[in-house]
Amino acid sequence: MATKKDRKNHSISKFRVGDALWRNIFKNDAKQTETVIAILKRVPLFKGQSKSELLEFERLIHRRHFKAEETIFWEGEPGVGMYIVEDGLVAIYKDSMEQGREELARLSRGEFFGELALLDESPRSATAVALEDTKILGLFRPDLMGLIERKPRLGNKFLLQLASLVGERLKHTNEELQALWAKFDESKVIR
Amino acid sequence: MNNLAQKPAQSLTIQVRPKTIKRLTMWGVVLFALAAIVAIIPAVKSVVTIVIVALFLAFLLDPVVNFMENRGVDRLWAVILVFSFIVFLAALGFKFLSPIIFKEIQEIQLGIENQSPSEIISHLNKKLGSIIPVLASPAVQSELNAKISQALTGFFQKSFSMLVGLFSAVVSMVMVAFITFFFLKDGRRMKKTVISWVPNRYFEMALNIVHKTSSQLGRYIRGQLVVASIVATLCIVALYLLNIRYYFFIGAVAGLANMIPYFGPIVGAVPAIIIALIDTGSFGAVAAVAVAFACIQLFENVFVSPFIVSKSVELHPLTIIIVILIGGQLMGIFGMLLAVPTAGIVKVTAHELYLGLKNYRIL
Repeated sequence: MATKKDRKNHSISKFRVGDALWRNIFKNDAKQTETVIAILKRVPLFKGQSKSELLEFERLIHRRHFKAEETIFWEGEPGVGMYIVEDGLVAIYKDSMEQGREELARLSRGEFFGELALLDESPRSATAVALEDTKILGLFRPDLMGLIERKPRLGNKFLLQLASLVGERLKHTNEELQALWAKFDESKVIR
Repeated sequence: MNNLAQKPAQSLTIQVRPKTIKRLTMWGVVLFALAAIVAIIPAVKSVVTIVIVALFLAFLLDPVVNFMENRGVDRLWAVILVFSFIVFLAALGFKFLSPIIFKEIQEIQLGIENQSPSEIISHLNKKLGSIIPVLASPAVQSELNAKISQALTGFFQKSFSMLVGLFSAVVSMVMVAFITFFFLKDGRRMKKTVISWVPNRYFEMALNIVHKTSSQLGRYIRGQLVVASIVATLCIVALYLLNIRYYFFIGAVAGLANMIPYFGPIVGAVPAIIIALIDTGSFGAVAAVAVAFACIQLFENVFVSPFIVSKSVELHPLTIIIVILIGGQLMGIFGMLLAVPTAGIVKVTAHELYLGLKNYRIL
C-alpha cells in the first residue's frame, strides 16, 4: 500500500513527466524537489503559496554546497539575491575598523538572509560564512524578475510578503531606536 | 656533506606551493579546453551553425512565449502554439509564393526542354560568332564546343549537388526547429544547470553576467530582426512600385543583408540594380532603384535603428569590418551575418566579466 509520502513523490513525478528527456540530461530528481519545497514552506516569504506555486519557485532555486569556513558572500559586494539554509549553520558578520569582526547572527535550517538584494543591486551590508558543511538554496533577482514578467500574480504575491517582512523589520528597528533614545534621555536626566 | 645535499631540496618545496600547482593546473585545463574548441570547431561547423541559428530564434521568440505565459498559458503549450503559428505562416507564404516560384522554374525548364544541349551549343556559337567574328573560325568553334559542353556538364552536376544541398537544408531546418523548441521550453533550466557548474566564489558573478549578457543580446537580436523586416518590407514595396522583377526575393534578401553593417546595404542593392539594367537597359531605371535604396537606408539609419537596436553592443567601425571579413572567411555569407552579433556577445560578456571581477574584488 502506498504511503502518503509515496503518493506525494508520485504527484511530483507525474507533474514532470513531460520533462523526461531533460531529466535524463540535466538531472533533477523528484526527491530533491520535495526537499526544496519542504524548506520553502517553512520560510515566511513563501507563506500562503500553493504547491504548484512553490514548484514554480523551486525551478528558480539554485542549490549550493559550502564547506565549513567558506564565505558565502562578502560585505560590500553587489548583492544578487537571498539564501535559505537547507542544512548546516551560517554566521553573519559585520567588519569594522574599531571593533574588528562582530557576529550579528547565526542561522540554521529554514532561516534565510540577504533578502534585500532581491530588491536592488546595492552592496551587501554584512559577510555570510558557513560555519560547517552547509547546503544552501539561493533565489536571485534576475530569476525573480523573470517570474514577475511571466507570472505577475505569483510575483506580486511574493513581493507583497517581502514588503510586509521588510516593513515589520523597520517597525522593530524603530521601536529599538525609540527605546535607545529613551535610555539616552534618562541617562542625561540622571547626570 | 649530507646537509649540503638536503638544502636545495628544501628550497624547492618552498617555491612550488600547492596553490600555485592548482592555479597552473587550472590554467592548463582552460588552455587545453580552448585549444580543443578551436580544433573541433571546423569539424562541427554545421552543428555550431544550427545551434547558433536556433539560439537566435529562441532569443527572438522568447518574449512571445513569455507573453503567452503571462496570459496564463502553460509554457509547453505556449511554445507549441508559437511553433504552430510559424508553421501556419510558412504554409500560407508557400501557398501564395509557390505559384510565382513554380512559374519561374517552369519558364527556365521550358527554355531548356525546347532545345537539345547540342542545339543550345550551336545557337550559342552562332550568336557569339555573329558578335565576335574571330570566334567563327572552325578551330575556335571546336574549342568553344568542348568548353560549353564542359560547362553544361558542370551545370548538371551542380544541379545535382544543389539538390543534395536542398535536402540537407531541409534537414538543417528541421534540426533548427527541434533545438529552438527545446531552447524555448527548457532554456531556463539549461542556464541554471550551466551556472551550477561555476565554483562558489564566482557563482553570483556568473549568474549576474549570464543574465545581463542574455538580456542585452536578446534586445539586440530582436532589434536587428525588426529593422531587417522593416527594411525588407520597404524594399519590396519600392521595387514593386518601380516594376522590378523578383521584387519580393530581392527585397527580402536586401532586408536580411541589411543586418551586415556597411556591406549589407550594397549587397542588397546590387541584384535589384542588375535586374533593372537587364530588363530596361536604361540609366533612369537603375538610378531610380539606387535612389530608392539610398532613401530606405537613410530612413533606416535616422528613424528606425536609433529607436530599436540596442546601443550596448555598439562596436567600432574597424572592429565591425574585421569581424565581418573573418566571418566571411569562416562561414561565407552566413558567417558575415553572424559576425557582428557574435562580436557583440564577446564584447558584452567581456565588459560584464570585467565589471563583475572588479565589483567582486577578484581583479
